[in-house]
Amino acid sequence: MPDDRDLWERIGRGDAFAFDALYRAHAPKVELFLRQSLRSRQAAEDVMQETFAQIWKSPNGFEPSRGTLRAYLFGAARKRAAEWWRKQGAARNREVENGPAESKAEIASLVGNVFAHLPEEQRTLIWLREVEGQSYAELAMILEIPVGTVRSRLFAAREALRSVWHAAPKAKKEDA
Amino acid sequence: MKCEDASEFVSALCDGEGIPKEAAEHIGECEECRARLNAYSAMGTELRRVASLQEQTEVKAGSWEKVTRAQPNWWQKGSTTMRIPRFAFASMLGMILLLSGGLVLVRARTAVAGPVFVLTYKIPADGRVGRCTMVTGGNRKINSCSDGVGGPWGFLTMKMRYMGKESERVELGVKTRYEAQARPLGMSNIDTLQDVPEETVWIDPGSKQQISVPGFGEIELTGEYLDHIPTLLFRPNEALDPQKDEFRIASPVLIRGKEVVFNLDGSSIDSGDPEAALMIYFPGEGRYLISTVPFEAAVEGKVDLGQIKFSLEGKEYLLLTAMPTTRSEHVWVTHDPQYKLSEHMQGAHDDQPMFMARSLSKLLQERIRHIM
Repeated sequence: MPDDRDLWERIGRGDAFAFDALYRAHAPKVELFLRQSLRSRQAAEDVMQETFAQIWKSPNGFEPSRGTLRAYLFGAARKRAAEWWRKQGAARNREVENGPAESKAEIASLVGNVFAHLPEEQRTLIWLREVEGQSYAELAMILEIPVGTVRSRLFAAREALRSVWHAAPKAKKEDA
Repeated sequence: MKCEDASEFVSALCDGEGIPKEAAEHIGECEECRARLNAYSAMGTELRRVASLQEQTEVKAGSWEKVTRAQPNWWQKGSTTMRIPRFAFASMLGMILLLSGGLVLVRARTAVAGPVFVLTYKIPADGRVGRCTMVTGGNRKINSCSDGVGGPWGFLTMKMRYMGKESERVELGVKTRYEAQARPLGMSNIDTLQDVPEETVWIDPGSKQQISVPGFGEIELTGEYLDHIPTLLFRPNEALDPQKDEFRIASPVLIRGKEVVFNLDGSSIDSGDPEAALMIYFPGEGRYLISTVPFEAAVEGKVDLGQIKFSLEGKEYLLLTAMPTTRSEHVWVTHDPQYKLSEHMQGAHDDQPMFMARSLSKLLQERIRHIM
């Protein structure tokens, strides 16, 4: 796999093979990330496609000196996801309260269930850190926040997840 | 360290980040923090396990070459790689436009009627250009100026006075006198204009105007407005830094110990003179001579931009001026308390202060000429 700079230069020159390599390497992870963020499989697939299509059409947003190509892709996907949420408007609030059925079915574990109850921003942060293994610097680039803020927000997100996790068994019993 | 202080570092530790020694020690000894660390770790592990269970998208080779690519223009390219928030960029653009608009206004202001009018006159006999600054707001101290120019061709004396304005046109009263033969110069030159009738001249800013001097020829006049009174009235466009071999002074204040000896208006300048010097006469104080080169009986003083410090007769002196005086770091000073200006300068009065920058050798002469 060529390094980010070479790959990006080839993509910039219109090398479809280079872009396809990028797509194959990152699209599955990006879609998974979007699934937990958007809590809709279909929406995640659409947003992922839109994200890559847009990058192919206008490959001019990545600067190798500022971070990795992977972080750039997740950052672009996050922005698209935020846009998708904005378009959802009132529907978003309804989903946050009830939780969409398909995500409940997919994330079949205790931590998965409580994770789905976190605000979207905290879910994004924890997912990118714990599942994708993004560094603080990459998270700072993706979320467009300072590294120090990444640390404090991650802590807040983990604390939120931990408190919901601790309360989860009780809630599960009440649901039953 | 307490748990609430250490808890954020527990999260950082979980991510493999370095943490302060104090926090590390506390976490090592604190049950609650260790429990938190374990919980974070377990949650992360469980999340990764759940993510591994999820069905990953099968991606096929895309036919990307069929997708039309946009050719980004410089603006699109710039906006996507912009490193500052769009709002900040827009604000910056707005500020630049606002400021540049302001510059246009300031430039325009110099062209419209302002509080100061600068008259430029060109003497055709030797190409000399002189300037006269006049305040148009009724300040009588700075509403006229005079000049005397001499050469092999004879001598020309001029006096220009601001009279009024109509819209942007300025009305001047001009007196001129030409003498074909060489003659000694002095303050009485201006007095020779007393009997000369004043001619009214209208000047349009930016336009040339000619006045005719009997026996001499034409003098070219131009004028422009300024929005401030320049520090050097005869050189309104002068930079703050003195030139090489130049001594300049504006609005001098002399302090002796804690006493203000004098506080004067006006300015004077001597350029292109390797022995440029300054003479200041004040009634009751006599004369101070300050030179950029050593001379007999002079004490050394120190120059710091617009300040000159020296010691004389056991007292500390500080001469303050409105602008840097000379490039030299040292000056040489004498004080003659018995000096009578009227005995050395024709037409001068002992009860009137006077200062001028001139060549040291000329200022040391028994008879000093006012215009040289």
